[in-house]
Amino acid sequence: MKKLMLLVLHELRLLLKDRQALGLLFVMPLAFIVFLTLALQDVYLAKVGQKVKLEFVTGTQCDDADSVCTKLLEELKRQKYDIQVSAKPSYTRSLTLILPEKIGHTLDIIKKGEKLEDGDKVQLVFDPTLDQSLRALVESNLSLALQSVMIVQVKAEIDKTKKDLKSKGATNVKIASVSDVNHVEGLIEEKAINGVILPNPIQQTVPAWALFGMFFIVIPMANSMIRDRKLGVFKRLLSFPVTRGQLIFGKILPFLILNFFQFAMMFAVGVFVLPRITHLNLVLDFSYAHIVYATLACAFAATSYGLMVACLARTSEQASAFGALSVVILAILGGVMIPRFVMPEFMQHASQISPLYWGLESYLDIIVRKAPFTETLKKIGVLVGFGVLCVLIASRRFRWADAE
Amino acid sequence: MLGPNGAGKTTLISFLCGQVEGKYRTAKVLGFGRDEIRTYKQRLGYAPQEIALFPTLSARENLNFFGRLLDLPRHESDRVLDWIGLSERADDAVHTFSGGMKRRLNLGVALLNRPDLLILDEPTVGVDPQSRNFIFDKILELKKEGVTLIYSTHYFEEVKRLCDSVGIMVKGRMVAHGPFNEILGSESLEHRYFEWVGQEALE
Repeated sequence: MKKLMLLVLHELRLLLKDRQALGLLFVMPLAFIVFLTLALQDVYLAKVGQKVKLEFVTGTQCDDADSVCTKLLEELKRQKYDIQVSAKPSYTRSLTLILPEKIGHTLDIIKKGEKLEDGDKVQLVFDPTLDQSLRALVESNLSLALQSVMIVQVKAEIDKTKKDLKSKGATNVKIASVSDVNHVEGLIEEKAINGVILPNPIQQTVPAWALFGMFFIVIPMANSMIRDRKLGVFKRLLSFPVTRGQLIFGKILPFLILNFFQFAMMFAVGVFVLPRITHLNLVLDFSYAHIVYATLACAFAATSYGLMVACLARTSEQASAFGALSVVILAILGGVMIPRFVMPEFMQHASQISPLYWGLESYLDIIVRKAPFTETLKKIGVLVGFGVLCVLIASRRFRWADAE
Repeated sequence: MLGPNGAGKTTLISFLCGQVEGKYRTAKVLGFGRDEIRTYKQRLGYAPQEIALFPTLSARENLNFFGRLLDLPRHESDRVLDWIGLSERADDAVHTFSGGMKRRLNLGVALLNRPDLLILDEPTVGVDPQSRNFIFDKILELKKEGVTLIYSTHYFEEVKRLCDSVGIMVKGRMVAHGPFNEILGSESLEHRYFEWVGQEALE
């Protein structure tokens, strides 16, 4: 045990002196998580119902408080859009809504069931790179806003008709009344499985990218092993009174510890830094013990994979190229870079090959779904199984010296 | 120990250093059998062909690490640093050392435990004449102290200068071994070497 501790501390010391490896292990995933969150900020905000930036081009129609234009604007504001009203389009926002010259006339045509001419239509101009689901959401919100305005108009007309009929002596006038459209609000209540609070994207992306960063430990780990093999250090150490097991675990354990710190640091960024950028909080309402178990399993899978890559590769260049490429492929496959639900069915099944899939699912079980731990334990089991398989392959191909 | 490339000198050394595991016939070295390998390794010194050191660590840090694996006190590192003439560069990173200095440190690690058996695998490869002489002097010093040395090399003059006995390996077999006067007779080492190795080594 004393010798193992000595080897672990020695490896940690070597790592601390290797700034390049430390940069790869800590700075790169951090930069990744922060920049990616910054880049996708608008998408995140839209998805959780925060204000979407919209340019509302009205001409002079909104000057009158009772105009259709004013009513539509109020309706959209109620739907939490960050609206910039302008007379002419500037296209400075990713979404621009251009009203026809007479929006009131357009609604009249719709009510009569007549066909709209091109000049009568409402135009929604969007940045072609805009998320498709966000576009669909805005289109549907706009239709809803227009329908709401029309319903209010129809209601007013019905009330007027009722009043006219009564003034002409008609009694017991029964026309089905259209209630205030606002009453429909609150009809649908969003709830997630297990009655948990609806997750925000940060709760899903932080564990995903943290996991991605953790698997990048493959590169420094494989390089460290190949370097020791090339230098003849392994061979020399075999002539010392230490066992092969101590030497191998003396290599794995420091990286496992670093992996753990990596995850903790990325999580800390999710808790303390990302809320300042996105105004979304990483809600810490899960079992910390469960997170520790899942992280240990992920770290074991990642470091064992690193050990296997080190044993299969002959040079550092091979290990770096194969390590980086394979981790990116496993991340794509595992749903870290691309959500699994957008994948075709066979790819969704194939994603189960990736250890990142099982790692991500374990974290989502704990952080987002609040699933019973027995469910997560199965996934943790798969990760440990993957790690054991990598160690077995590595032990078959392990070379203590380059010439072997 | 002499022999052409690929003769098996380094492989034999690997066996002698307890680096090879598996179902092989066993032998006793320094009176220790296979079941006493940990005690044997405490008494063994080995300097591999490669500069098997950590380049980012200082000379002292390298010696301290290997010394602690042998449960040695830290002052043994200072003793070795002094012996190999690197005390002044003790705290410099190994990657800043010249080839000769690295070789001296490589030898120094093997001497940390004051070994009973010292195995040196081509310890002068790529070394300038000055450092080479330094290493020779130190080896002769150890020899005088009674340390048993196994020295693998390609250079006849090193064998003549340092060794009492010679073993010649060809294709994994020790084709001749013994004290100089017994195996050379009236012939020179070079002549006898090519006689034993000659055609077989060229094939």
